[in-house]
Amino acid sequence: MNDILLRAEELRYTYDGGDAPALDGLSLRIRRGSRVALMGANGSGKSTFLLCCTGVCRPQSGRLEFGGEEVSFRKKDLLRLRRRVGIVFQDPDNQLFSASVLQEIAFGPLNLGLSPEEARREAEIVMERLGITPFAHKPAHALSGGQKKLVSIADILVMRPELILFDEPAAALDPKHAAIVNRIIEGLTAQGMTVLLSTHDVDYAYGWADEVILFHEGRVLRQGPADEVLRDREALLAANLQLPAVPRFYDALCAAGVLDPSVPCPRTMEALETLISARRAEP
Amino acid sequence: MLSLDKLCYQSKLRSRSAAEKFAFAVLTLCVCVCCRRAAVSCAVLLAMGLMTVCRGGVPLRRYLRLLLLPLSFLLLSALAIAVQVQPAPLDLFAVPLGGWFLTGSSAALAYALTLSVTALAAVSCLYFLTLTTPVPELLDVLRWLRCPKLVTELMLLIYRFIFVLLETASAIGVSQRCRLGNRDGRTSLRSFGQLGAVLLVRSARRADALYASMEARCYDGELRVLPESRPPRARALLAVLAFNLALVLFTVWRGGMG
Repeated sequence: MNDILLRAEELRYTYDGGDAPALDGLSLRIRRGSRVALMGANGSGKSTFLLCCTGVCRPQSGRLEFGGEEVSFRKKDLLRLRRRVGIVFQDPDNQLFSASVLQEIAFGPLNLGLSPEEARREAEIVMERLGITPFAHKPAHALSGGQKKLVSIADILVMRPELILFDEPAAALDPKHAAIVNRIIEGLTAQGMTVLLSTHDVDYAYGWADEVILFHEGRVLRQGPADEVLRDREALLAANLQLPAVPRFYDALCAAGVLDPSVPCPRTMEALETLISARRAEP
Repeated sequence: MLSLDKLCYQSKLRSRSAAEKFAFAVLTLCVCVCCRRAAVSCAVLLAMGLMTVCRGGVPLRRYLRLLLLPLSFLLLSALAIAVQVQPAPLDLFAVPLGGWFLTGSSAALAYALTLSVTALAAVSCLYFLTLTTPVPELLDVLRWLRCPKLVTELMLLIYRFIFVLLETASAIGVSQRCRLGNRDGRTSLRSFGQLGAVLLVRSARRADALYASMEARCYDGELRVLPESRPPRARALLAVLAFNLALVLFTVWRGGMG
């Protein structure tokens, strides 16, 4: 079985009337079942790449493969691709168009050819899972930003894709809803779903991702394990990012002699706290 | 717009079948307009008021305030019908204006009043529908009535985007006011123009983004919508028919259509 789910080779894409290419020879590989964070400055090509992955933007050159097959941009093939790749957009207001939450979530299943009864059942299962059943008959404009985000995630989950793309999922959310969204993403990856997520949150990416891909001017600046890429100060600086808090504190504590540098740097703040407590408890 | 939508979602009649409410409002509106009798219109006004306020739970003051909006227009129109400038005085009143008279007849006044109350009753039918039936359910009824798909799809998108644009306009308005964009009449006018221009551009962008998001969910040119409305009950439809039949019979008994 092919371990690579998505492969991009030398993708180039320039928006109509755009001066600079949004993707300028972008090449990368995504393994099946992995958790991948796309990071980089605004305008580095993350969102454009996600749109290419669902066939909304068609690269002017290069090769994009999904599941070992080259992505074809013929209408029939695109529909097949979109059954397998779902995208949650950054701004839910650009995604939600139906007059009620139930109709919004049932839109995808109906397009997949399910009967209204089946589409309703599928929508109800996802609403229950995300805790949005009380809003089923509410219009989108009556929801808060966080609730809209949950609906926009339900929109995609209900289609049961193999690969799910999140474009800055926690942007503009309050901490409570950001935590809910992050928990949902954790749940998806725990089920073995491949998740590709674009974010500026280095701390979240450091704790969550298996792999981090740094984008810079439409190209991949660096791709690798999160604990390697997100400790590369030079690459982070080029991508307008900062070192995550955990390795920053870890380095400082090692330098101060509080921690032993031979112990690997933990991935979360909680794990770092445990490490410090264990160290202090030592005789 | 926002308050009407809110009232509709809070209505106690919201859970009733949209087809029943649609039949009641539209059939009664047609009968009211065709009969054009003051007594029939008053009965319709009362029935719709009772249904909207007592059964639907819309606060009376809100409902009366809503009715005042069309009433002010209707009274002005009625005034234009009832008051005339004529060379000879009419039977009701006459104010000499040089060689002419500002005058009115009792027949014209009766006609103006009948017309006004009929129009107000027709508006009350539409208020009943608006204040008790959410748009998604109304669209279900229109689809069931074989209304062209293009119309219902446009209505759906317009309904959604009215609120998105209102939110955007409100945010831009606040931002303009925070920077003294309403300092004087001239500045306000310029700010308003800029707001319109920005809204136009943002609408176009939103339309693009929305299309992309729909495509990403396998949209193939047909907007498939899950029906949400309950089927109508025969008893309710019979009650609607009986009410309207009574109005027609009353009109016939009183000497036919006005």
